[in-house]
This record gives sequence, structure tokens and C-alpha cells, in this order.
Amino acid sequence: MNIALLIIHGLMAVMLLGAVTHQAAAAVWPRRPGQRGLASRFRGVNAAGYTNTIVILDVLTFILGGYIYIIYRIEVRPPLEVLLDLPTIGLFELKEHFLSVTFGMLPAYWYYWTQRPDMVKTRATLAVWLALSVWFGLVVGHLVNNVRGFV
Amino acid sequence: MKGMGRALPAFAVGFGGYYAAAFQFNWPMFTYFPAVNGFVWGWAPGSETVGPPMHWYGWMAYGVIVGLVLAGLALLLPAKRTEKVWAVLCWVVPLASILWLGYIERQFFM
Repeated sequence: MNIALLIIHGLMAVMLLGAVTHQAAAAVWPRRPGQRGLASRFRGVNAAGYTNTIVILDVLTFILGGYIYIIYRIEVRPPLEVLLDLPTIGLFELKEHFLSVTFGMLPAYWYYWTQRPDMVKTRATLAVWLALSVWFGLVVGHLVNNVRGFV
Repeated sequence: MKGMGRALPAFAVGFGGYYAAAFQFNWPMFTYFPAVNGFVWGWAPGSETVGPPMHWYGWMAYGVIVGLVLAGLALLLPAKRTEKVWAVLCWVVPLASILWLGYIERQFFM
């Protein structure tokens, strides 16, 4: 059951990653008319159209992560402490903080992306922040998940 | 929603700012002990009997309350004069919080 929850958590994070990366790329580096390459098509999306999906996916992924965190605290972290694998514990701590603070920014993110099209810089900043947090969370989560193979 | 919505950036400021302070000064609303499925108000240490403590849920709970309070206060301020301030603070305060938390957690990497 725990493994199933972890896989669902990871799959939701991957979907979120795709959405936020498209949106951040479109916000920071908009496609200009006539551009046709792969990178241009990647960022040539209706960025605002991703907003509600991103918020819903982020909330669901975060809640599921908050539940899985219990399993980490009881079953994963104590052995890491015994093995003195402090960098892995520290990375997970940073992930926890980064994603928690980002979770608190979601209402602001939603407001600027749905209600304030005039606030271009704030929208781009929040989209990039969200993308960075999701990328960091996914990479660290993956490392922690695989850590038994390394220590 | 547009009128009330202007309070939402203030929520990010209150939540992000409180979260870092809560971690630094041990200010969770409650401590959860997952091994025994028990709660204690405020901060509490783990032990052989109750297992490892989890303060994170308690930081989040207080963070939401502080965020809501600041969001409510933001509605009392003049919208036009403060909208640009909130537009910057809503990511600057969380950024400062993350940098501070990263500095505190450096012990794991030294």
C-alpha cells in the first residue's frame, strides 16, 4: 500500500512538473510569431490555461506527500540516522521546507494568474518559483526513494 | 473575488514568514507522534516510549492561521497603494524564508 501511494505521489508530481514547466517557459520566454522549433512549440502554450490544473495537482500531490511523510518519519529516516547519512536527511528537510513555503504561495499564485493579467513580472516570478520547487521536490524525492541502493 | 482576492498575496507573506520562524524557534501548534498516533499541544520531544516527533503539521497549522490573519489585515489597507508592495512581498518573504531555512539546515551537509 505504501509503495502504491508513493508511486501515485510520484506520477502526480510528474504531471505537475510538465504543467509548471510549460507555464514557466511560456511566461519567461514567450514564443514570437514565426518561431516553429521544438523549444518554441514547448513554450508556445496558453500559460494561464494551466493555472487551475497546477493548483489542483499541487494541492493533491502535497496532501498525499504529507501523508507519506509519516511513513518516511517512522520507517525511512531512523535507519538513515543510524547510518549517519545526513546529506540525504538534509535534502529531504530542504524539500519539506521548499514545498511547504510554496504551498503557502499557491493562493497568491492563483490570484495573479487568474485575476491579474497586468502583473506580468509577478506572474512570471511565481511560475518560475513553482517550477523550481516542483523540480527540486521531484529530484530529491527520487534520490531519497533510491537511497537504499547507495548506502 | 477580485476585491477579496487581493488578500491572497498577504497570505503567502504571513505563511512563509511564520513557517521559517516556527522552525527556528520551535513554534508548532502541536506535535504529532506517528508511532503511537498521539498529539501534544505545542512543541514536544520524542522518546523511546512515544517514538519520533513530527512538528511539521503543527508549523503548517499555525502558518495557515498567521496567513489568514495577515490576509484579513491586508483587506483593511488601501488596495491601490499596497498592491505593488504585496506583489513583491509575496515572493520576497518566502524567498528570504527559504534562504534562512537553508542556512539553518547547512549542518546536514558539513
